[in-house]
Amino acid sequence: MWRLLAVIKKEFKEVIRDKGFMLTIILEPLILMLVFGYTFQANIKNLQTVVVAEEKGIYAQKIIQAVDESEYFRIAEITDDLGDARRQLKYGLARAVFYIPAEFDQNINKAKKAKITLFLDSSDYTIYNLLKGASGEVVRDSFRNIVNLVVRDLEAEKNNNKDRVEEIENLIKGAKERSQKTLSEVGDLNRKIKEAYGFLGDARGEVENNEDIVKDLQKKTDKIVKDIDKQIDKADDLEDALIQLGQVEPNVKSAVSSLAEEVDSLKGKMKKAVKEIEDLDIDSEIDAQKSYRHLDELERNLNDNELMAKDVDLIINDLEQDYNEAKEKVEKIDLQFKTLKKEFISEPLGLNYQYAFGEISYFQYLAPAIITLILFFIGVVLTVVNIVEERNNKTLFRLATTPLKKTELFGGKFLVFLLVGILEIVYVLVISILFFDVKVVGALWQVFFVLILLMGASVGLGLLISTLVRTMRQVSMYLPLIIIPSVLISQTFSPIEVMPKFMQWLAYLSPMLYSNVVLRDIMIKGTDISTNWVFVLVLFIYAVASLGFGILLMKKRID
Amino acid sequence: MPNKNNEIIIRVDKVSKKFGRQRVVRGVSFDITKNSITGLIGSNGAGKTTTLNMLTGLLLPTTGKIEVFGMDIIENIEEIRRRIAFIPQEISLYKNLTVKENLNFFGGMYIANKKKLEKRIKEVARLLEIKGKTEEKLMNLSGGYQRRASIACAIISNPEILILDEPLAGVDVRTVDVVMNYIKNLNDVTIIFTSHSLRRLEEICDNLIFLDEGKKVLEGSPSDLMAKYSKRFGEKIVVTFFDERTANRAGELIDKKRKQFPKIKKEIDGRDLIIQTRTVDFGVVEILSAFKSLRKEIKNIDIKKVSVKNILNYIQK
Repeated sequence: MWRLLAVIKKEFKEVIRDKGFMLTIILEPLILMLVFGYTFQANIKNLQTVVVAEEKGIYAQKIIQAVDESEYFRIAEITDDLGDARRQLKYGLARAVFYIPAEFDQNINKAKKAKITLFLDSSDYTIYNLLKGASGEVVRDSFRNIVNLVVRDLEAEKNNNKDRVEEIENLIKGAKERSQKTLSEVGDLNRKIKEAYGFLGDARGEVENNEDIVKDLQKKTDKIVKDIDKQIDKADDLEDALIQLGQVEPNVKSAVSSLAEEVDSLKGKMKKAVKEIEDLDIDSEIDAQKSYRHLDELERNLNDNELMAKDVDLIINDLEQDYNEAKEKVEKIDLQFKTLKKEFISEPLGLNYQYAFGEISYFQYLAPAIITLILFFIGVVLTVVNIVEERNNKTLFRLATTPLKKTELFGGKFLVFLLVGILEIVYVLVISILFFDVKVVGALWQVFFVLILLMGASVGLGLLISTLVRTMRQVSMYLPLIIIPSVLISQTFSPIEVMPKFMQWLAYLSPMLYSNVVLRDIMIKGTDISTNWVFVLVLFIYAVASLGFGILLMKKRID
Repeated sequence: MPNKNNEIIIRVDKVSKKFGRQRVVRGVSFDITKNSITGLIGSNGAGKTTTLNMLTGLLLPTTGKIEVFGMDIIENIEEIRRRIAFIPQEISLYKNLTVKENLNFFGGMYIANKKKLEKRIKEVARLLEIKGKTEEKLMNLSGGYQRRASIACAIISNPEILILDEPLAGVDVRTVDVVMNYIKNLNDVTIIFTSHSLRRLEEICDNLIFLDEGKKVLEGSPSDLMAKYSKRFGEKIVVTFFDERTANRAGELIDKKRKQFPKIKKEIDGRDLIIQTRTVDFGVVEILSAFKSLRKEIKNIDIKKVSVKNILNYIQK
């Protein structure tokens, strides 16, 4: 028991006094949690998104709005050029393209499933899976809004139609009433007209009668007028005689004058009679004409009434037709409503996914990164272990006392590790392609080329690390602390966008980042290496610079 | 002793080395003449290895100046490295390679010609008696052979100066013999080596430099040192008798002749009579003649001359 205690005491002291170990157990959880946390609690936000809107109606606007409001997407451009948008996707300038086709709004109006296509950068498995989810959500939400809008509109229309049907029904009712009234009126009129015909016959007889009488009367009046004229002439003669008589016989004069006055009044009376007779004649004629006119009017009325009756019938027919149509429409709307509810509302989402580079499996996505990881690991570990071993064996120390130059020593090492790396590259590629069905869409020699650069950079980095690491114990403590975070921040499992800015900057220190990006482009997208010439150049510079700095920092002295 | 002259090949002038606050070497100065053999002696932590590291340019002195071949070591390190060889304390060879492969590698640093190298490899293999082992991997060899291989790898370049850090530490007697013989028989090579023990140094070293706590405490050839310090230490004679009684009697005899040997110290330890002389004024024979009568009772006589160790112990005190 006391021996166990002694061991515990000793171990405890050893652990506490090992500064490197203490530093590691304090730093390691922090760094790993941080890196793992950010890598796997992927919080993708503001991904570059292009909206292709061939339709810019209200429903399309709703979609655009929803995309814009989503924290996942950042609309970089709204365009109607699908080809350009897809090109952006291909070159990694955009992660997603929302395509709203031309007939989008119309389809919604027709209660047809409105379709949106989401083109995704499928070369990044994590992003495209997360975007799939996110876009589904966004589009579902906006569709829900749209459906609500549509349903509201339809309901309004339905109500509107109902009102109209009622209105038409009322109209028809009124029209029917009115037409019946008119019909009875026409009947009355016809009866009256028939009566009028009777009267007319009488009237014609009468008029003919009257004409005869008038003719007689005219004859008589003509005779009377003539007589009267004769009498007037006699009276004139008499007057003249009387005047002469008066001149002759003044006594008679007064008598004659009174007589003349009498003659005059008689004359007046006669003239008045003539006039009256003449007037009587005219009135009769006017009366007859009036009757005729009245008769014609009656006939016309009769015809009019018949026409009107016909018109009313037509109107009623029209109204009935309208009514039927309206009713049909209401029924149709009801039906639409039902289908809408069944298909459109329950599943209005017509979201298609199109994968810019095919539907990539997670393994296919990981494969370039795994190859990168293997080679990076081999490059770094091979170098660090080799150099630390040389340092521990004191051979490095011994070599330092020989004329051997640092460039010769590390250059030689570098070339050998590179050669080992190249063999390893061939081996890894053969295994992954033959046995794990890893696909290389682009050119294989480009993959090979990038991996050689990566190997160079890894060996260089290993050289740099080994200037800092003294013992194998430190190697075993610090290497995981360097390699694991390097792997995680280099887009191995998730894109760089998920990490906070400072980690994104750190990622650029890892040669794996460049290899991962370029290799994924070649292996998954099939892009040519020249597209990523900047990263390739960086990888090359990385290899040369890390080797250079490594050699520079490697001391030929021991202090 | 091989051709010696007084040409100074290494000059160490007031060299100090600090690691952080720790002063490991403090103002050490010494000269090493061409083709001499110098032993750098001191206990662990005395600063021996640090001094060697500075001599090979692996460490820069904090202060002071080192000249090798008359050149400043900092400015001409590349040239100097071509002409010296250093054998670290550790084996420091590639354990996965055979002895020959190691020899090829280290030899290749100096000799570009393949045939010459081949010849030289054979030569050093013979010199260090590892001929039969050249095809073996280093890790399969015993410590002694590994040490010899290590030395072989250093001398393959025909260095003008050979620096060995603890070449005799932790190796078998046979290897010590081989190494000592090799060192002794080397011509035209200046040799510096460190040792924490004094074992057999006196027989091969031309010069001994004692370091203690980073300071040079003593320097000189073994004979000079001996001459200088034997006066102070005298000699120690241990006479072992067959029984304690005789030992006591011998002691009494010494006392009787006190006048004759006023400065000797006497001590009886069981059957041993230990006589410590102060000076060399009295020869062993004279002392022993004092108890001539007891000579048949004497089992053994051991005369311990003053040793470097005594000197070192004395100095360290």
